[in-house]
Amino acid sequence: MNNTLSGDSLLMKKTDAGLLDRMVQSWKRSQENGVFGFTYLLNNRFTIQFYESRDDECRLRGRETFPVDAAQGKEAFEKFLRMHEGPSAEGISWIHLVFRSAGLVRTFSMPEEKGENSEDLLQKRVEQEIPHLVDDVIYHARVQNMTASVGKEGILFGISKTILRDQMGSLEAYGIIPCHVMLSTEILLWRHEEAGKKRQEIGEGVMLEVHRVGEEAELLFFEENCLRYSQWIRPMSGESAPGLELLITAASEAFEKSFGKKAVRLQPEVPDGTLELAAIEAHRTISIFDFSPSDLEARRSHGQTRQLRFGLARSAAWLALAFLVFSLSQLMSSAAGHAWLGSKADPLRESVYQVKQLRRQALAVQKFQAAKVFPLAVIEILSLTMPSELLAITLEYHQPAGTFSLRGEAEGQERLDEFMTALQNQNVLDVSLDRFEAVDAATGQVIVFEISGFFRDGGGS
Amino acid sequence: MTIGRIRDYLLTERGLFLGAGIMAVLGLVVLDFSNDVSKRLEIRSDEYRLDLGLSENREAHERIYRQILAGSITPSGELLPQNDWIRQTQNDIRTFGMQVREVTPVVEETRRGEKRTKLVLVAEGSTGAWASYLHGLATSGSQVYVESFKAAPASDDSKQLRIDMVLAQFEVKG
Repeated sequence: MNNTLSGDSLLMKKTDAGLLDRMVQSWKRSQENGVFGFTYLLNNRFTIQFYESRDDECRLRGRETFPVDAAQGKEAFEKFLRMHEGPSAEGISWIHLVFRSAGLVRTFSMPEEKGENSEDLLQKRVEQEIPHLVDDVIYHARVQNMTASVGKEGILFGISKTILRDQMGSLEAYGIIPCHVMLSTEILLWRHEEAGKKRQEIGEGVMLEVHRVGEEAELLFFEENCLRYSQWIRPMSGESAPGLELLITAASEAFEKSFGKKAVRLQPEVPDGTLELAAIEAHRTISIFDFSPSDLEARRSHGQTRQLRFGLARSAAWLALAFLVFSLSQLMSSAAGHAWLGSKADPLRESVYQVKQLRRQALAVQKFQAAKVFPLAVIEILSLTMPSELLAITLEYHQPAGTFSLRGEAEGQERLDEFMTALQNQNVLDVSLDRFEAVDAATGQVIVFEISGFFRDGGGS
Repeated sequence: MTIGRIRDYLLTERGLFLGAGIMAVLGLVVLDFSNDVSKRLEIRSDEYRLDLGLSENREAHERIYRQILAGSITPSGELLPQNDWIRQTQNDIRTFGMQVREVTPVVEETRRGEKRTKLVLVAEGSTGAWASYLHGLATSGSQVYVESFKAAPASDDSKQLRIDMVLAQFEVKG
């Protein structure tokens, strides 16, 4: 956006944002692969349409007109919204289009640069062109890249702040906060310039492009890929009034008289939806100036916060739903398991009832026996395996876990090893040496040890 | 119309948060209930596997269990009253040539809230006398068994043992 001048300080910052910011914004916007809502005011009614944008394709999903006064059209709008998108206007990227009829477009010659930088020169020319409107419009101007034959030309796009305030107020009453406000002429010029970049040769002469909107039309006179003049035409009502075609011819002739060049009308005309498709592309690539009034920024930020909260709520709802479904599936699978077991296990239980009773009694008896016999078994095993050189100091036994521990003294390591081996060879106990300490440090002969173990079949438990 | 309004409300931010909360609470309740059901299923499943195993070799199992029951000392099923138990324990200890130092009944509460009486017994005697006492206890049909013990020499130069025992009675359930 070199040689660009803006009439709104906030927007000036936006257009002059750093390269990194622009890249981040551009990337964010490129991710807006979804539904774009377009609004524009024509014949004192709002037209609202939804375009679905997926990759490079754009499809119209719905179009409807509503009165400017939201009190009259809110219900119908909500119905329309529900039918196409959902109950809320939040979550949709809204682009508001302002047509040439409500906009200001001026082209003007630029003087030679004599030590002055081009921005100052452009500002000076804008103030000369619209001396009384500078404070009343949001505008931006730039130098068009003309070839030498025409010379340098400036172009100015502007929209009255009053018009914008009125339109934004009406849209807000509908619950719409646009993320981008564009002027139709600028979109069509951008589209023309983009197409020109792809063309190898620049066409000679003046070309007239007609963009119809309902019964009205915007005329754009291009020369060397630059906009020389633009005009909005609206046929008068009444049978004797000239039709649109006649008005286009008259405008073309008027251009010829003023500029001394005949305009060749481009065929076919700009097809329906082209403006919206170009607007989406320009929005994504941040190629077109945003005419949003500065106070809209705050509301937009508020809207974004609400949108974020809405997204959070939606995610939470999905998560909770997933959790509920998971819980229900767990319950269902357990219930199904019960049902399956019921059909299989109940007849079987009847048939093995007697043997099961016997088993229960046998297990109880075994447990009883274990509880009675294990204390004696511990003593017997230890007395059988313990060498006479070993001295037992304390012996402890606990029935619930079937564990025992023995603390004693041994004369020499070999006797203790012999004892441990003998214990393990019994194949009844699992034993481990927990402590080993040579008491007589000088000779290393007397060893204090601690052994613990348990019955392999679980003791009395 | 009403359903449409409810749907619209549920699709607003507040409705979504409310729905998420309700679903999360419901999910927790269902999950908790599902865990209980799942635990019961596990128990039933173990029982079923056991039944299946028993049904496959019913005769063999029955024979083994009968053998165990026939060749073992079965609990008499009757618990001794506290005083009788103390008296009998003192007699048994003396019979096997040991000296009773202390007999204290202790009441313990189980995890299920049931109260069980145990005897804390302190006795002194030789290793042989103690082994004989334990042998007598192991071969009798009484419910009494040794729950834990700690044996150590009565004094440094003595061959006598001091034994701290906790005696309990085996309870047959079902």
